[in-house]
Amino acid sequence: MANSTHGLVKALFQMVWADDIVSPEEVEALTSILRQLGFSLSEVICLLDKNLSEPPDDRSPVQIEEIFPSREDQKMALQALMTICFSTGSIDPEQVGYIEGLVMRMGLSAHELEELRKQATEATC
Amino acid sequence: MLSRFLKKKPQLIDRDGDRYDVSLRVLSRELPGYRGVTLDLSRSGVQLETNGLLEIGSEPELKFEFDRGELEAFTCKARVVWSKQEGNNERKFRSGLTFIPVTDDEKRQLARMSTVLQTRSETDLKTLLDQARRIDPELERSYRNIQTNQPFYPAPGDSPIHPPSVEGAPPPPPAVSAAPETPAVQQDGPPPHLGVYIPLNVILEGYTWSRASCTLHIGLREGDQVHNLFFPDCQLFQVLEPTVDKTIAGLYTTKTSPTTRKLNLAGDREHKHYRFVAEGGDGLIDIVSSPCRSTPQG
Repeated sequence: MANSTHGLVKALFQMVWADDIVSPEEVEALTSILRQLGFSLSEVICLLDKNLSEPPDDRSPVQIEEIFPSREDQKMALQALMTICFSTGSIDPEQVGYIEGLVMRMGLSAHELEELRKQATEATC
Repeated sequence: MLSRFLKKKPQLIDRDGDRYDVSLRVLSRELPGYRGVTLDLSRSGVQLETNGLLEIGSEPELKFEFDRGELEAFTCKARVVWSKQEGNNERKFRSGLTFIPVTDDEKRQLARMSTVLQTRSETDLKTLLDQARRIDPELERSYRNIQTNQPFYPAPGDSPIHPPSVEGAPPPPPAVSAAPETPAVQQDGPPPHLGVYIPLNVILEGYTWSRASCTLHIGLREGDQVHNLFFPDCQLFQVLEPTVDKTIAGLYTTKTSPTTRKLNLAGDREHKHYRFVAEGGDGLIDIVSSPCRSTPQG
């Protein structure tokens, strides 16, 4: 697994665990994102089995902006995280904090953020 | 009066030589749907299953496609001797045909086919298994429950495994929760580790067991693709319900369950209880093993 993909996967699981409750909607959204990232069904099963049985030891936010040099890749990663965030229909403060920090570090404009939010919301519908 | 008893059952098809139950695809422009499947095959004729009635006396040209490299596909004319509907099924028809080879090459092909089929029928399962082991000594196919070093079958009083329910969510299918909620598995003893429910929509393709590495391999079919899961250091494998053609709706995994506790697994290796479930949450397959992997080696 490439370092960038590994980092994104770690961030996705951190997002799922941000509020310490893993909902079925989050698992479904996560499964769909992992498949889109190119993981096979078996790999997804193993990843979910390994990373959802207990909260991650390391909760320090993954520096998405560092592992993805390209702006487009950063935005794609952020959109994936927002898809998890919006999957339950309600946004948890811890999840918002995670997203906000990332948006600040990436220096996204309000317009760009709104575009990503729309795409992420559509992905969860 | 005795003639009634002496009367032979009418022979539906006059074929010499042994018949071999073999399922091969047959293509022909003259067959309904342009195809059929052999039910049995001999040097002199074939019983075909098609999705339409064949005209008795017609002589379709049949192209046989073989599933192994010993024989090449070949074409031969055959005459329809009988044809009938199979029971009440309007899509299945059986017909008996006799080959009418014309060229020497066609006769040679039929003779060769007969020899290959005879050889195949004489190769018993044990020989095939021995051959398979020589190719891959690690692999032994099994279609029975695995005998483990510590055989364990849940006692009748054992609670079925269900993950804790999520507040506000309907009970089945099981959901995942990391919150410390009321344990649903067992009231006494240490609180169970909470589990993970992974929704799936797959069909069990098959499983194999490697005795040498104690690894169970499960093939899951998703559309045209088969995905492999490996359960190393497998201590329990139990088929709870017939799984053939049944859709597996999800996989529930937990670190601790009554089953893992009763197995009393010692050692450094972590073990988990996996349960493949059908729609509605009914258990299909139970596995206790080290964490599953997507490749044979970790």
